[in-house]
Amino acid sequence: MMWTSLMSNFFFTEFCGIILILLAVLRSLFCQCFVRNSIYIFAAIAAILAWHSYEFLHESSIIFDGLYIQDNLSTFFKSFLYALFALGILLSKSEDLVEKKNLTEHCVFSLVALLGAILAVSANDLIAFYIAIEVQSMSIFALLAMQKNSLQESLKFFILSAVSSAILIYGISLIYGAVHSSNFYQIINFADFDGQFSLGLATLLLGVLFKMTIFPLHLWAPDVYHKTSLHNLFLLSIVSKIAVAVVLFRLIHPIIDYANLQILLQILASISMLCGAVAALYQSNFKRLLAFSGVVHFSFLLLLIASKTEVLETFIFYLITYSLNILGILFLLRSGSKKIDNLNDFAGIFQKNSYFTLLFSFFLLSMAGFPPFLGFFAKLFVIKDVLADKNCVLWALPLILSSVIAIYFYIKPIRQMIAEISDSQTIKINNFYFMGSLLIFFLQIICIFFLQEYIENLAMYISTY
Amino acid sequence: MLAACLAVIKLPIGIKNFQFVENWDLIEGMSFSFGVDGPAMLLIALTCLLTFLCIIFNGDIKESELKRYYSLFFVLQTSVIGFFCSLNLLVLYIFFEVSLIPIFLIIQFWGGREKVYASLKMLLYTIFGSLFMLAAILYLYNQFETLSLQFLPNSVASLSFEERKWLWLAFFLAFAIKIPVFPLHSWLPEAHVQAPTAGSVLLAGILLKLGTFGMLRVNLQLFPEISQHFSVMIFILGVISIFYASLAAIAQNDIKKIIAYSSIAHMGFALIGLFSGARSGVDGAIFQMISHGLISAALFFCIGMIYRQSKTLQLEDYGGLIEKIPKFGGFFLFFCMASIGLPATSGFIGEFLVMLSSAFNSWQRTILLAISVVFSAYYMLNLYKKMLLGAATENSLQVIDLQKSEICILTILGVIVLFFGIFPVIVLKFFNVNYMVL
Repeated sequence: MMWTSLMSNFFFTEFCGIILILLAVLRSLFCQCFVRNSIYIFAAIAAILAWHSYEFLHESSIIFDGLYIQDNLSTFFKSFLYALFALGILLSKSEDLVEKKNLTEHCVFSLVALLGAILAVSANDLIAFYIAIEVQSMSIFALLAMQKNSLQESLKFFILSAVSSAILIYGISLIYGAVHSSNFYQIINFADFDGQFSLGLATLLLGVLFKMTIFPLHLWAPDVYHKTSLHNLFLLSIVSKIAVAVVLFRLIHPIIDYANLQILLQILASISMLCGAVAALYQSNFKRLLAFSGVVHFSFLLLLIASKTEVLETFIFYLITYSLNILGILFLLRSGSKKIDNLNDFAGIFQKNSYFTLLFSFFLLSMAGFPPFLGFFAKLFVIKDVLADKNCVLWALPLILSSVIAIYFYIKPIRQMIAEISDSQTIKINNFYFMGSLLIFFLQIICIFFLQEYIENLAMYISTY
Repeated sequence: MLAACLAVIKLPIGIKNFQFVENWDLIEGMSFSFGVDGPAMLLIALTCLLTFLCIIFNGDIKESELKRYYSLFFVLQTSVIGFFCSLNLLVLYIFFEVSLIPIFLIIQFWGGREKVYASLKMLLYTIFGSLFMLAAILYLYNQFETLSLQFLPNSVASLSFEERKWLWLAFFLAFAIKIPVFPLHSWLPEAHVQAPTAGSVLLAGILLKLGTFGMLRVNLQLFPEISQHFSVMIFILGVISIFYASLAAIAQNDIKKIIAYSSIAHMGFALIGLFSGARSGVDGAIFQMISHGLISAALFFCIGMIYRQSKTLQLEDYGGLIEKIPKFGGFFLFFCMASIGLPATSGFIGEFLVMLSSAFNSWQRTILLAISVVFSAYYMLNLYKKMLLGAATENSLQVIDLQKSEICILTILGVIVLFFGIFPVIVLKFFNVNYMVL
């Protein structure tokens, strides 16, 4: 009976995901034709799954002896990730970095990466988390390796993420030794000052913050982002980061009172956001710039997680905003016929296509947190929540400083597009992707008005320990 | 513009409260609440007038760029009007920031050679200050769960002195950069020099007023005691600002920079008036804001009309213009005089009221302010002399006199300046609002 109830609600979405992967594998084995359309099929199925998993909202359960948890946080992010994936997989359509014959494997691996992220958001146990993260990193590694001319990047990613996983599992084992359980619930209730536990927590954080590209552990990101295809960029900068951020929120936010954890994370986040912003000033490649902007964004998120107030709503709001922004930018980058990679490639686009410029500027300003775009509201809520704790008022200072610096580097491409003049041939815009990003922009506008209320409803059903 | 004029007429004189209040909740704590009082109404009318004149004055814009030109100006107008009538701090902040985008783009599209540097500097300076304001706004929100300017003044008093002081400083920083006050002013002259004529007009005529108006709305209304507490500091800051700007204006070689520095000096008067703690000071400051909006806009239009033909802003390239273009000379002289503060022009009333208010505190202050007016007379007359009198240079000989549309623009502004100067009471009646500082 337990098994049936399990199948009927909780694990169903994951189960479907696995079926989808099997389907993809079968496709790759038996029919090499129709490869072109298969992306649309996967996108459609992912969209259906997003809708389907959304049905389970407001139900909560814990299964497999507390290995997995279903609550609104996990259900929402599951369906959100499926929906993002439905859009994101479209980015890999006839992308020249992906060789045609690899297209189906490409789909399989990206689905596995998605599955990893989906398992991670509902993980309630360090082991489940570890497995999910590994599934994800391995498949992303395979995806990176499948690209042309990017062996170095993929190896760099592989070795570094393997090392960080090793550190992560070391931390997990230390925590297990101290708590005698790897369950989040047990760990959070343990929260007793203990040397081994502290060491374990620190090591665990080291591993997790590596995946989240927080300052001293961020240097792999620009190198890996640099040459990767837009679809892999989508997986790296949105899917994997959402997964890790949710786990960090589940585990770390409840025990933020523990010893010096709060001040440690706050200092780390502040340094990270300043360093990320300053480093981004000197980038001449747009993808590297995106990597550093990710560093800044996730440092904001870390600062948010490290505050003692009720931050759940802001946390969800921020992740949604970030992913919509990045996705919109990726769609726009994809829509250009000419490859837009270096900042110099932006020069003079305004003369050729003003709509492209306008939309791109909107997304960048939204990333920079410039009102009245959605990104502004996300930043607003972060500052509000950080300030809500009266002891933490000063931590708004690095937030402000890094936002000012960030404005400068986000304005850079806009300035290039408008002010510079280039003599190169006209840029053609692929309408399909342009419409996609336009859709995402309208979604953002709708989000400005309704997202907060929606998340409030959502958050009522999220259990906090 | 017509609508704004009608609204000004409809506005009952001597109102005590906000008029035309509209409320519309967006998200928790942030409702679009709009309403206007006397000063806001006048500033909105000024905004509409100047935008209208800028639209008329579009001679140096290419046909293909007109669409962009108009739309940017209308976006700017919308955001500035939104700022003047918002009664919610967050909405106020949003419009404050949004107004940066169109002016940034105006400088980017039609600016001079150093446009990138100048516009970025303007953007970063303003955002740096305004983010402190955002933090202060959110701190207030965390305390009181409301950001409405109608309800906040009562509740803010419950905060401790220390807290209010820091909040006040955060707001002050944001608005002081916009005004701009002495150590934070360096973005303004460069932005002016690089901006196209219409951009300069709006920058000096309206955007600087966002700073003083913000202080009037937020610093004075929410923190009256703190404003009193800091009034000496502000006086010193204002006087330094005035003297520094005047001396800098004397040393400049670039016509637009001279007028830009004179703007800083005039806004210094408005700043001193606002925090003088006297009724006449606040009145004078608001009057100064409006008259400076008109006069500096007119001066920038004049410069633009000349620049359009001769393509140079260097002072030594001009000379003896009066013989070639007498109509221009007449208008320019009039506006120079108004800028100095000649009686019967609106420039006089504002400065007079501010000096009057400082006399309530101490006569030494009044003397200081009076001396600064001498400086302004020096640099403005010097500018007039070098440009219009003396031997004609090569450049000056090629210039032709004003066209009909240009005369029309300058006449409208001139008539209003004269009218405000001769009948200030009509305008001052608008200011009869309850500022709790008094």
